[in-house]
Amino acid sequence: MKYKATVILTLVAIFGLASSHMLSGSIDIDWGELGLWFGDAPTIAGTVFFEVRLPRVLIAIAAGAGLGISGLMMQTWFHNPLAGPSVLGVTSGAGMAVALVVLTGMGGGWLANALAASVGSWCALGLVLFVASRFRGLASLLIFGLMLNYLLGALVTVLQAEAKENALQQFVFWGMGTFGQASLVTASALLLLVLAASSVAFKQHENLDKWTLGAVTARSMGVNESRLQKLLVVLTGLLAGSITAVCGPVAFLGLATPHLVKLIIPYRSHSRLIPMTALIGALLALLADWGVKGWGIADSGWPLNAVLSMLGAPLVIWVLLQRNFSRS
Amino acid sequence: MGCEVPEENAKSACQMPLEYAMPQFAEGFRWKVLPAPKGEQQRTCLELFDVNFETVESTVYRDSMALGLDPCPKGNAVVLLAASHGLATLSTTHVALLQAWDDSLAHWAGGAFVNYIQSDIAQLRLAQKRAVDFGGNPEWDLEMLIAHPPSALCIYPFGNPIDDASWSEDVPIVPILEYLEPHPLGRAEWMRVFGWMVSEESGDKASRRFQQISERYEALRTSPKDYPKLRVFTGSVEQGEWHAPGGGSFIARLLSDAGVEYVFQEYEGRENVRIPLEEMMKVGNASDAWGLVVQHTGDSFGMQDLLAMEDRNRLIIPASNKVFAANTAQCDYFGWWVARPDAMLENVMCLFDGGSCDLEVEPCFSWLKE
Repeated sequence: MKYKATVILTLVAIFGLASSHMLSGSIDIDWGELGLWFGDAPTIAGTVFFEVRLPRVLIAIAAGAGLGISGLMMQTWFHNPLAGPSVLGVTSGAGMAVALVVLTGMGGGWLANALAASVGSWCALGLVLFVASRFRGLASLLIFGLMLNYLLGALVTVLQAEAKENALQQFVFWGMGTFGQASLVTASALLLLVLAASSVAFKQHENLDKWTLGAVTARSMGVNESRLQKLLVVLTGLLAGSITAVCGPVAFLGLATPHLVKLIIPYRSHSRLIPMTALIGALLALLADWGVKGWGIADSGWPLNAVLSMLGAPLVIWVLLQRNFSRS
Repeated sequence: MGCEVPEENAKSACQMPLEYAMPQFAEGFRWKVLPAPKGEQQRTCLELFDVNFETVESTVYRDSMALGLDPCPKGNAVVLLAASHGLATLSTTHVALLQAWDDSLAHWAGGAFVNYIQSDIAQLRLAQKRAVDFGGNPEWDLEMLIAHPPSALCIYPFGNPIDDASWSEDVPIVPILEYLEPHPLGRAEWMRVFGWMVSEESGDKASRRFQQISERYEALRTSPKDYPKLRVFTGSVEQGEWHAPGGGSFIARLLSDAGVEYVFQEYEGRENVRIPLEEMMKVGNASDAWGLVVQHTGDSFGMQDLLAMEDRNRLIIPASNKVFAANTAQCDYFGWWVARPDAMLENVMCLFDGGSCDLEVEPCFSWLKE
C-alpha cells in the first residue's frame, strides 16, 4: 500500500476510535448542552465530555504516539530492535522513583508521583547512555538494561516488603497504569509536549537515517554523534518520563509500535517511520483503552497494562516469526 | 468555599483551648465543637486523623457556614454537599457501617466495587437504580460520579479517583480509616461518622445504635467464661513465611476479649508480623487452636481444603486438630460483621464454649471438619 494511503487509513481509524470513545460512555450526553460548558454554569454533559472523555482520548493519543517515537529512537540509536523505554530500564527508573516517594511515605499525591517518575526515568536513561559508550557490543547493552530492570525491580520489591499497607496499595494502583486520570489541562499539556518532541525528532530524520548505517559511516557523513546522543537522551527522557508521570508505567507501546510500523510500511527512512510510529502508537493506545472499558461489555474490563501486554506480546512474537519465516 | 482565616489570627485561635467530643473506642476521628454565634445551636465539625492517628489530615464540615465558624481549621477542609444526595462508598465495610443504623440504606448514593457487596438491600437498591454503580473494576466510572454527585465520596486515604480532575472540588472526598482501628468496637464506631455526615438526627441514631452494640460487646467481654484459656494463633503461609496480625491488631483484641490467649500478643503494633516457618511449626505444636480468614467458593471450607491451599499447613495444625475459619465467600466478614463486633465476639466465644449456642445469625467463624 502507498505511504499516503496508509497514513490516511490510519488517521481515519484513529478518528473512528477516538470518536467512539467520545460518543459512548456510562451516561447519555445531551449534546445540545455541550456549548454551555464554556459559560458560567457548567453542565453535566459538558463536564463529562470536556473533563472525562476528551482528556482520556488526548492522553491515549499522546501516550501512544510519544512512547512509540521514544521506542523508535532508542531502537535506532542502539541499533537494537529490542530497545525501548521498558526494556532498557527507563520505565523501571520511573517506577523506582515513584516507589521511593510512595512506599517510604514521603508523598504520594499526583504531582509528587509525576515529578518522581520524570526524575527517575531521566536518571535511568542517563545511566544507560553513560555505560553505552563503554560497551563494545550491543548485546552487552541489552543485558545491562535487563540487569538494571532486575536491580530496580529488586529494590522496589524490598521497598514493597517494608512498606505499610496503605502505601503498598497506592503503589499497586499506580502500577496498573491508566489513561483516565488527568484533567483537560494536563492532557493538553502532554499532547503539546509530545507534538513538540516529535517535531524535534522529525527534524533529525536525516541524521537518524545515517546513524542506521553504523556509527563510523554516520560520523563520516557529518553526523555529530555527541550532539545527536544528547538530543535523543533529552527527547526520550522527556517523552517516557512525562508519559509515565501522567499514566503510570505503560508497557509494550514503546517496544511494539516501531515493529508493527516496520511490518506495515516497507520504508526505512525516519521521515516516514517517525510520523507513522506516532500514528500507529496512538491507534494501539486507543484500541487498548477499549479493553480497559471491557470492549463495550458491561461490568468487565482489565487494567491498562494487562490489556497492552496481551496485545503487545503476541504482536512482537508475530513480528519475530514473520521475519524468521521470510528469511528461511 | 467559605471564609479564610488570616494566618496570624488562625495561629492565636489555635492556641485557645478548644472543645472536643471524643469517640469511645475509635482512634481515627474526633469531633470539634465550633463556637456558636449567640442564640444559635452549637455545631460540630469532624476531624479525621492520618494513617498513624497522629495529625489531623482532613476536617469535614456539614456546610460552608460551619467552616467559617472554625477558628482553627486543620488539614484539608471538606465541605459536604446537600445530605439528600447520599453518601458514596468505596468499601463494602462502608455500606455496612451505613446500614447498621439505616436499615433501608436510604442515605446511600451508591458505591464502587459493588460486586463485593453482600448486603441484599444494597444489591436491591442497585438493581432498582436507587443507588449508583460507580465502577472501580478496573477503573472508577467518573461519568456516573459527575452525573450523580454524592454529598461525599468515602474512600481509603489513597487512590483518590479524581485527584487531578478540575471538577474534584465538586465532590467532597472523605478518607475513612476504620480498617486501621485496633479495637473491634473502634472499627464499628465509625458508623457514627457516617451518621454524622448525613445529619444531626442520623448522627444521634447511629450513636444510639453503636451504644447498643458496645454495651452488648462489653457484657459479653466481662461475662464469666466456662472454657479453658486456650492458646490461639492466627495467620497463614505467604511466600514461605508465616504472616499474622500483630498483638495490637483487631483480631488480637477480639481473641483476648473472648477470653483466650493470643499467641502473638508480644508483637506490638497492628501490622502483620513475619515468622520463619520452622519457628511457626513449634508455635503450632505448642498451641491449642488456629484461626484464619479465607475466601473459598463452593462447598463449606474443611480440613482438606486447608491442606489443598498449602501442603505445609499440615505441619502447623495444632496437635488438638482444632482449626476455625471465617469464609468470606459465605459470610459478610468485611461488611455486616465489622459493624457488629458484638455478634463476632459472641460467635468466637461460642466456638471456644463447644459450639452449640443460639446465635442471632448464621455464624461466620466455625470449626473446620475433616
